[in-house]
Amino acid sequence: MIELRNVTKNFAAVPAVFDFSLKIESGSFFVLVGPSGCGKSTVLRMINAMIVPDKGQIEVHGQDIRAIEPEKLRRGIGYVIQSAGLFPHWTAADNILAVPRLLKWSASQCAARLDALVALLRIDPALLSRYPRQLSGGQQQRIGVARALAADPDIVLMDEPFAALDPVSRVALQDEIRAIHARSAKTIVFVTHDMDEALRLATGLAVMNNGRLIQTGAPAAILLAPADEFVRGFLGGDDLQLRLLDLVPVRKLMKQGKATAAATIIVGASLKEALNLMLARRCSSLCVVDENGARLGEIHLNDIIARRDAI
Amino acid sequence: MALMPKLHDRVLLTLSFVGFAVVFSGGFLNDAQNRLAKGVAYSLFQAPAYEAAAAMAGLCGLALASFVWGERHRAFATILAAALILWGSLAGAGHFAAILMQAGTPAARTSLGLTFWILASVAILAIVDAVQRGNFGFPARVCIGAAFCAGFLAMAAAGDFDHLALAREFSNIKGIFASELWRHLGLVGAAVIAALMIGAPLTVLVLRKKAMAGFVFASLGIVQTIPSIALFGVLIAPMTKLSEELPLLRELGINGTGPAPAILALTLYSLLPLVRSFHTGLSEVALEVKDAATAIGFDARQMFIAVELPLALPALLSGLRVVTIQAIGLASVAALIGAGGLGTFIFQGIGQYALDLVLMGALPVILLALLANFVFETLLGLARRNL
Repeated sequence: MIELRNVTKNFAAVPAVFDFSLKIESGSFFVLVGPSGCGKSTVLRMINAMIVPDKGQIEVHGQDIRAIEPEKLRRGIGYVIQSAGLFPHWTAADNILAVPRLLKWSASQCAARLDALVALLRIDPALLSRYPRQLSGGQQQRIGVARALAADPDIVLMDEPFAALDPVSRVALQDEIRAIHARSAKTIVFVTHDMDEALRLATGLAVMNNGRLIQTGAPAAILLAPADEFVRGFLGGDDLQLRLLDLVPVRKLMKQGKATAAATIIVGASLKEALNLMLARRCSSLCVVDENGARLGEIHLNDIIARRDAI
Repeated sequence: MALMPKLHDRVLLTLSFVGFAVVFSGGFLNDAQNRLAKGVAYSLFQAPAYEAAAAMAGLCGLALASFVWGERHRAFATILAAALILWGSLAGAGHFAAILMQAGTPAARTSLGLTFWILASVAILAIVDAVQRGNFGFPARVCIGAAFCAGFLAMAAAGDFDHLALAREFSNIKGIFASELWRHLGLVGAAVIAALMIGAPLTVLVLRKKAMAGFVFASLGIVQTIPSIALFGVLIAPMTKLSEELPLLRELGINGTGPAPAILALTLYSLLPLVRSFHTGLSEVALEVKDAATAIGFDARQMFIAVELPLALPALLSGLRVVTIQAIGLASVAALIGAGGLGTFIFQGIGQYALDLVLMGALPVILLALLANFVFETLLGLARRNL
């Protein structure tokens, strides 16, 4: 668990973060969103003591971080930044193993961990001997994520990690990190200004503006009841209802039984994807199938429109 | 135009034209009654026929090589042609001098003329150009260099040059040449090491305390503007005073003249380029890389050793290269205040109006500088390999 209590940080007398309190539960995928310069990166960097707050208290696993040696704290927290920040004079493999080597793991431990990470992040083993400049942006960031996970930290901080990537690499890495989170008990704190990315990944969400916490809660709860006009505007204003559909899987509104519709949709897809398919096929119902293509039931346009109870 | 061969290397063609022009206009050897007398200039065409023909054939070869297609083929052709020019002018000068000496007195001096020096320069420039364009690897470069050195030494050992004034001056100073060469290297080495030992902490100071940067660079900049002879001279008085006041220094052999003020002056000159390049190199290490290193748990020492030093290494080596080459040149002036070194021959030569003796000091200084450049280029190549 990470807890910030009444944290304030000024840069040259300009407040960056003001009286900020937040609790991040263990195992959550917590996304901090807000416009550029709202202080979200400052909050993130205070958690691993890269920035020291002027006032207030930060606890990680119930321990005040001021009582921990900064290097020791940081070696236990994964960290990914937008530009990957790989060491240009080290190969991809050496970059990934930076923290295990700082922690003086044995060569065999390192080798075993490298194999596990290569499998986990589906890294092409041929890339391991290359230098960062020989890798594409997406490949570099994949190595950057592997480096953050190398020593198997409980907490991973990610500062707009996928913002500079092309859409294909971005979605692939988002899926990867979501899957890794689902399979582990890791706490991920993720900073982004991209609302779609936030909703796609978050189990918990905090909206920030001007150094203050405006609203925090589950993504759906915030979408259904934005605290003020700023949050409503930032969440997408008029698109709010469509964004909500993105959070609900087809499974929730599916009617089991015989299915007659021609078009099929997979059971794990979102209502937004279902609506999109209906619009594309000009139909009002879809046949729901499982991963193997077996028919499970049907979903109707009317149910999506009257979906209130599903959220 | 299909019959017209295509020109592939303008540099080579230009070099060969320069060679032709100087063969037809300048003197190859200069024969004088003694060191002071104005001599008679002889052209290459008066030199022994085989050697002169070899040099001319080499020049033609160079011109033809500039039309050869393919970098590697052209490089080989160029090196062969340049070797011919070098052998022709070296052997030509040596054998020609032997013939001229038979007629002259023991005091007579046969000096190398403009044509010789230009031909030798053309050949060496052509070789350097060929080695670079041919993209030869490090071992190949060393082999080519060693082959030419071995050829030169073999000719010298065979006595080919014995009658040239340069060689006769060398035989006069043979006994002290090696010791002055070592002295010169000692001055340079001591100054560079001292500059490193002062420059490294100074760099750290400038990096840590930004306010100090202006003051440090301004002070070191003032030293750079003092002419070298003036600085060597200026140091004599305070160093003499110091050694008079402190017997310990005197016992260590430190006084107003000699190596101590020379090393001090060379060190002072080295500090600005050294600290400037160290400062630039270390402050240009990408911020995001340092940020990432801190964020995943590197402490300051680990960051310096594992990240900052290797990434700044090329800049550090470039700084050392500049400083070393500068010190090799400046150390010649140190002879004026009794520090010895190769400058001794230069100033003796100037005093005695013996230009060949001047060359005995100047040529090794140039060769040392070229050698230092080669060594640092090689190290730089290694340091940049993975960046």
